[in-house]
Amino acid sequence: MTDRVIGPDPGLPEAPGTRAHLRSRVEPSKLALRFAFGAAVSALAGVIGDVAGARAGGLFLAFPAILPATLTLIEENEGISRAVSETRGAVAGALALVGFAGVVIALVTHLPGIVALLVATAGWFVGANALYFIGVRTARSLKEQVYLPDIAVAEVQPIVETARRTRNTIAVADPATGGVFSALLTSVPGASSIFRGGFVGAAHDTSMDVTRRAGEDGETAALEMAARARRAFGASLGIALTEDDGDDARRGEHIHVAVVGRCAQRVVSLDVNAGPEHVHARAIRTAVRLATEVAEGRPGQQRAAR
Amino acid sequence: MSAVPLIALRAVFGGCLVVAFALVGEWLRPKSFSGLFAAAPSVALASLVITDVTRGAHATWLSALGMLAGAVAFTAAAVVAIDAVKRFGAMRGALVSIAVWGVVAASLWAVALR
Repeated sequence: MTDRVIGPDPGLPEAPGTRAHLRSRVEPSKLALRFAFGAAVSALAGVIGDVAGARAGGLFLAFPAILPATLTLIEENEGISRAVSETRGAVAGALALVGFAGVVIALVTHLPGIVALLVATAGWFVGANALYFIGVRTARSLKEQVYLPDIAVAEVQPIVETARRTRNTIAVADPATGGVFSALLTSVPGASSIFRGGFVGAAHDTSMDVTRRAGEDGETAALEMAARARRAFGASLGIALTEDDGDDARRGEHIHVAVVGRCAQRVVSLDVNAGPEHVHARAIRTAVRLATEVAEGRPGQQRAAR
Repeated sequence: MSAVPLIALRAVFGGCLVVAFALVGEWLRPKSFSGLFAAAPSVALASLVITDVTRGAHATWLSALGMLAGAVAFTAAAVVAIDAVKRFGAMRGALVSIAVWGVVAASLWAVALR
């Protein structure tokens, strides 16, 4: 049984920084969910404060109620890699929240309450961003491996965990990123138990050549490359990241991400010029998302092309 | 103001600020703001404003003291969430982190705030 989901990147949102991206992320239902969580926690904190005192109620003002909704929405729209990245940012926000409370404690009995709270809020904003950048710099100075713009090894760890849990093995054909996806996978501790092998590119006279035949589209060629990698290395999942390599008119316009599994396959095309995020980073995050879907037997996401 | 309308006011104001912070976070969203707004002080700001207006500075100070402990617990929960989300996915990972928040917050309450 094959389940082919094709089209211009149906599972990822519009490019960040665009109005379409903002519209896709602020749908009324998602805002209503956030309102509900915020209202519930505020009410709970108020009830506890009335019953058990102000300090007890204050404890719940820092309850992470929004975190599940935020992370699941991100995972649904952008994949598990982005959710992992966002969680790292939440650490910086939480540390700054400690500072927020500290500033309120220091100022509220000396300044008008509203002023103290506004100062604390501004301090949270500045502090959270500063801590995030310090965290990124610290992680890199501690030799955390990062490939490409803003792709940490941690972002591909979920597919290694999923493959292990679902008893899958992975083979990769990665000419589009020059082997970076394979490098990220093999950098995850324990990946050798699930990573069967990969190749970066192939000359036309080798058995791994999947030069697109006349009239064949890039997505079909990507699926064929993923299937060949799967067969060549005896893996249960084949993942291919390829780019247009046809006639001059189409060269370099798209990167195709294909995953072939035991019972399903997925392929997505990414527009090289869509949005500010580096296309190779998007391709890798897409590969993680698609491979996770296929490994877990989940139906693919599909949206109308725009 | 009696208790029930005040609770309702806290709920509405808190919900509105959560939405407002979410919109600001999405609007300002290059990668550098990734995840920060999941820990924004939206609920705290709403509740502390109402507390300050209805009960005064000392009650606000006490609430902030409790919030300090809650924020320390939130930090621990967020650190755990990084690995939990990698292993279990977003929803289950976040629920694990909430459990961690509960344990840390309860411990801080017992040790320092009661």
